Amino acid sequence: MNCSSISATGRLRIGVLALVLAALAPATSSNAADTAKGLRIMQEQDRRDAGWQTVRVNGEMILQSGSSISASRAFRLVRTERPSRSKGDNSRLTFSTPADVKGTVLLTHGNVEPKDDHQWLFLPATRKARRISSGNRSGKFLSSEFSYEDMGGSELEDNTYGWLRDESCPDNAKLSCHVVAAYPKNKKSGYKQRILWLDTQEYRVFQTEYFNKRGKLEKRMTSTGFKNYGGHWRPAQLDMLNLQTGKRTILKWSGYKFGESVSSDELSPQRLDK
Amino acid sequence: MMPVVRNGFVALFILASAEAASAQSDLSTTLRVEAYAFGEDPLSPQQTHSPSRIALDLIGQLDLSDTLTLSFDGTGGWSGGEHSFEFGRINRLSLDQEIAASMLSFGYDTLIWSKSEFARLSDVINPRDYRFDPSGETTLGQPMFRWDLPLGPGVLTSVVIPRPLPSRYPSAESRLRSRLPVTGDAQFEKDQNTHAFALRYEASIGITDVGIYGYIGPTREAAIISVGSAFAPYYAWVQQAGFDAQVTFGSSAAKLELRHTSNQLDRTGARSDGWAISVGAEHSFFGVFGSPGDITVAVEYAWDERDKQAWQNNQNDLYAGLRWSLQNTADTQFEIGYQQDLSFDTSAWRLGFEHRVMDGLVAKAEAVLWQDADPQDLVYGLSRDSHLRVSFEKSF
Repeated sequence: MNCSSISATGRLRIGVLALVLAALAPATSSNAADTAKGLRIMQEQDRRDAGWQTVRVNGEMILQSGSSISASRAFRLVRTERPSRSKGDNSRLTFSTPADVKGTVLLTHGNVEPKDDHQWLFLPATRKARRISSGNRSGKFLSSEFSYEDMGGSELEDNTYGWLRDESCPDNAKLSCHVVAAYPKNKKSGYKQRILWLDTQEYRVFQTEYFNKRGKLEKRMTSTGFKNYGGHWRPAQLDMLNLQTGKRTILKWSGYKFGESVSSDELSPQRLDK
Repeated sequence: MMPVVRNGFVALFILASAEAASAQSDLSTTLRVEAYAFGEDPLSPQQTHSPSRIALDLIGQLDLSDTLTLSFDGTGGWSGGEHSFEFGRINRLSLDQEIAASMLSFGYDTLIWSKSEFARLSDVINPRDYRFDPSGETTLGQPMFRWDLPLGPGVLTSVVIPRPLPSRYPSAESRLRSRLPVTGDAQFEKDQNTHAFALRYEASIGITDVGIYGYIGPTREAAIISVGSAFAPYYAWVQQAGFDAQVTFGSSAAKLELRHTSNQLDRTGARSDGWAISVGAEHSFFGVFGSPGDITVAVEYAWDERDKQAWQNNQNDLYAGLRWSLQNTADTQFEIGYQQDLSFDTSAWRLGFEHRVMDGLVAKAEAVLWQDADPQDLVYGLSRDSHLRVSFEKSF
């Protein structure tokens, strides 16, 4: 049979997308405490990062189990900024390695809660674009430690927030960080909450902790190698560590290009074969 | 030279070529080695060819300028056994020119329009390659002019096919062929140089993907006629209009394909206008058995107004299947499906397995087990061809 839902290979590809989106989108999340202050901090982060319009970047995802590398994927990402507050960012992820997934495309048209994102997967072997189910938000993306939800390009409106405290930034005591909890509005979310560390100067998310539905700390993501691209800070590397299993997924970014033109064709589900 | 040794030399040669080609250009190459095992003797003693194959798939594109691209996708290889032969297939060899927001393409191309996985009613453009795939899922590139124009939320595609090509059929000696060996030259109701035309608009609106199309040209469901001492495909000139849609909600999806055909032939030789329809649904269960894996169940039904007289296999057929994806780094996947013809006494099981051995190397196995086959059914010729196919694909 050839079920049209995403295949196992497809899952891998989608996972990469999630990683990409997580890296390119300023992370958001929260927890109860000072709700108004938490929201203000995240609004400020959203305001500062607005206006990037388009970005093209190369990505590599490395899966590690212990000290050994179990898999590696390379891809190119094109992403366009949300056209309005009622929409999310759009993106197109094209895999270049390994060879057996080369040419596979994952297209995402972002939405804001309560609407789910729309996703299509193009497989060059079948020359067919397939819709991706939105019911697997908490599933592993590409067998990585990132979930589809992590990769989904969270928007400000997708969560409620609460400021917890200010303290030194993780692994960078010279910087002070806001610690903000983000509570997903979507009931299909795999998380009860996420806690973010944003530095008080540039609002860069240095660390995110993910708590599962039972409230247990499950994963920790650290972002390093931040660089300013015309006012938009982006990390060179994301490191997601599963605290339950010890497995790790590293996502590396290179060759950021902001502001290049992206045609509507490039992000059209009817043109994925081009 | 023993076939296995010769296969090895061919494989090495192709492997070396693929490595060289990949190093010089943005070219994807896949070397595929396949072997079949059949459980029974064939229906006809003439069918002495049990294929093993070595094939090389080439996919790539070359940017000739900022707006002009040459795209190609083809397969070539060698089928071993008592009646060995070389084969080739072009899926795409096309020059694509961007003109403002639109795209003008010229060359061989393959247009997959269907939403269904089983009947594929909306795939009306391309001929089929039945040589290795009796299901008709494998298509051949069709020479065409194509113009894609963004319009509203979708794309309007206009197609002109200057010289429609016929499907390709297995030789009389091959397994996995119809009961009547189709070895004669293709016959067309209108001269083969008569242009065919198609127009399609497709769009994605919210959770729905829809398409509507019209086609005038030779049918893709050839009648098999007697020409002299041989059997040959006959292509009636038809007018078709169709609609297809897929709605995806949560973990489920529903599909519909509807097609009307004028001037179609049936197996009695009569002509008629008639409808064909395919409906399907699927649902995925995520995180099964406490693992990251998922299971998708799917059901599809296909119907043709001509019923038993239709020149197509899926005229009143039900298909149910299940796929279990482990979601591991090896992309391990199991499939099982059951097909029942509700008009003929025909049914079959299909089993599949796929596993990435390492990056770029994928192992696949597929079993087709015919339970019953009605002598009146078009697929009766396959009834003794229950088989296991094992393949390895190395990509570069």
